[in-house]
Amino acid sequence: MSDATDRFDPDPFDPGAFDEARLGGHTIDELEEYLDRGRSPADPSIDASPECQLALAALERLRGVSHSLIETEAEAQEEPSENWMRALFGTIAREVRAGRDIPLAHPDPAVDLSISEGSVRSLIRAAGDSVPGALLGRCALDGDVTEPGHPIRVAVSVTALAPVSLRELAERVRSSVRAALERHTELAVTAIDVRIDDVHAEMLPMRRNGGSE
Amino acid sequence: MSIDNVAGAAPDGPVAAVVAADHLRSDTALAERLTAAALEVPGVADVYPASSTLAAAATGIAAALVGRGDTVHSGVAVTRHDTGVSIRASIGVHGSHDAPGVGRAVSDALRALAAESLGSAVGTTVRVRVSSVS
Repeated sequence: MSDATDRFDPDPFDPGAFDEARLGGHTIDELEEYLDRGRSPADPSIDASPECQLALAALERLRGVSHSLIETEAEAQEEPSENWMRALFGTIAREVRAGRDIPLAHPDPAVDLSISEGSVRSLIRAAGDSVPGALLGRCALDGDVTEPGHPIRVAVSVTALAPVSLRELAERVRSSVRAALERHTELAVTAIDVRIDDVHAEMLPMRRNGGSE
Repeated sequence: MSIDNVAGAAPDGPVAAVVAADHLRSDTALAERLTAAALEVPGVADVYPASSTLAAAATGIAAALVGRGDTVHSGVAVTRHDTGVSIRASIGVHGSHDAPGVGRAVSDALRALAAESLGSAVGTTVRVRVSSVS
């Protein structure tokens, strides 16, 4: 490729390229507004961005949870935590970014096949959020994911939303995350660490009754 | 398309400009066919732009000027360089399908169509990234 072309062609697969466009050039607030408008009128710069699509999916799940929390906490005469929500928005925005290319095997040496780290983190988030009573906070892939077969440790933090055993909740999250990773990646996952770092109002009645851990 | 046009042995001056324009048209048509082929693979939910909008617009200007570089389109990217042609695709996969299998099927489809269109004499590399699973 010529120098002139190189200058105009930051590799979109390069995690360092086009920093300002990591979420299609949009902030998480703009994506929230896009959801508020029912994704209308359609914005091609959002719809054609995988990072934006991953963020929108996470935000939609979070909206369902936050509505439930607001109702529950209103009954408990507590203020929903704006800071908690904003922190989670920030985490989602960081974690949907493409990140490293995680290799997928292909027998043809002329083919370079991979899955983005951002899509894997989003997979993990979706798998965790699919467990009733769980909402994923942070997610990290610890290890060299760019090296096939390298041992990888997954760490997630979870907010508990339902009156269930925290140990059982952690085990369900771990199982769901493992299944998603086995189906969609070729990572050599050696451990999935689940940390319950928050318990929200729906959990409180059971805790008061002494039924939870 | 002849391999001479690809390999940097193209003539200079007005003839080179005509060759460059031919490349741009044929590569854009190939990119469109590759994008359509990727979308036909079961499990593919989206084919995202393999170049960012800004990069694609700027590269289009550069490509028009020098007759090389990415085609301007909204899906699979075709890039000419001194040693051959590289093809890049960024795809979204339906969660009901396994991402590695869909990625391999897309890679194979792009490789086959590129070989058919460019000929086996042209060195072609295919880069496919699964950018979302939903």
